[in-house]
Amino acid sequence: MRFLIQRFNPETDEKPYLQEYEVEVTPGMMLLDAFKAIKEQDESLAVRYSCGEGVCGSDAMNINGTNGLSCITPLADLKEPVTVHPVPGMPIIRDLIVDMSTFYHQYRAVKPYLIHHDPMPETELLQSPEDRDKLDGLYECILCGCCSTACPSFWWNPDKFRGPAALLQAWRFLADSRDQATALRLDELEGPYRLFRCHTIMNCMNVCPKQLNPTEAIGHIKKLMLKHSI
Amino acid sequence: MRWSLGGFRPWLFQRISAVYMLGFLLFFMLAIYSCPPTDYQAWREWFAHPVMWMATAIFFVSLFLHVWVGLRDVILDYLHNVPIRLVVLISLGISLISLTLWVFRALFTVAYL
Ligand code: SF4
Repeated sequence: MRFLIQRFNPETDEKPYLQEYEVEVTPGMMLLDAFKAIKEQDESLAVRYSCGEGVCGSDAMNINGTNGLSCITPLADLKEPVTVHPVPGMPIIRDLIVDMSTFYHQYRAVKPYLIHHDPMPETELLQSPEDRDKLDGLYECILCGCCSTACPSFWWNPDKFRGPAALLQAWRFLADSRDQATALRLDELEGPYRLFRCHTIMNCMNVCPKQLNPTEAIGHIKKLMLKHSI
Repeated sequence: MRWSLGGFRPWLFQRISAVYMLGFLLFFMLAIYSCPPTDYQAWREWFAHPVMWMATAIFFVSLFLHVWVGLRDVILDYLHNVPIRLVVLISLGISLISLTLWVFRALFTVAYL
């Protein structure tokens, strides 16, 4: 199978370029397996991965034009030649590895933890099964960044727009019955950029390898703002 | 402190104005279709009626505010040079305010002259 992979070493290269590789494919192989085979031919290729089964979210990349995780992308589903770029819009550290700093900055900015003002109970903070169900489809995010780096609004304003992944997490805590910082969280998202740069383009939900839906979460946040404003 | 352009209000206004404009345009087309004003005098009288006058005024204000929110979004997305962005935003604001004044002049002429 033929692969075209974007290479870039900021120390020696002026511009990124595509390099061609040929890999012998066996049934059931994932794209990450192909990278491992390529690294045996050319160990200078830089790819980031860890768990290899779609849990850690380290190997987000742009595969044939769509963001995804290489470890859970079967080669059988891919058209030849398989063209792989780093996720778009982020500074390249080397080859397929990008600097995710702005992404993490936006994630930190939504305060992704429970804020509870009342004195803590002696035992656990309880939650009804129904309230717990509200967190399904939100807590599963692995922060791979496929969604935010597929979002044009995040490309244009990565320093000011929170991006789909961070906004999904903002809603994850707004939706949590144990969280007591609703007003603070909503206030923090006001302004023309942080939340409202979202134009419902929906690339985020198309690419999410966990089938989560940040667009829907953003809609919920806007509805909650409406409820709190009138 | 709220010193920046808004987020929630413009967004909400964009939705409300869209619904209003759709309703007004449907009504307007229906009215034209079912009983078209026969001459200039009939047109004037139609627009001079207080309800129609008010509805038209609200329509144009909605339209210009809708345009403001929409173009403002495009500018915030694509114009990253702050001085240029400021100039473009201010020119847009001035143009829309002038257009509003012009529409009101026309509406007052219809009602009072
Ligand atoms: S929402 Fe999906 S695509 Fe976005 S960071 Fe989380 S797991 Fe990745």
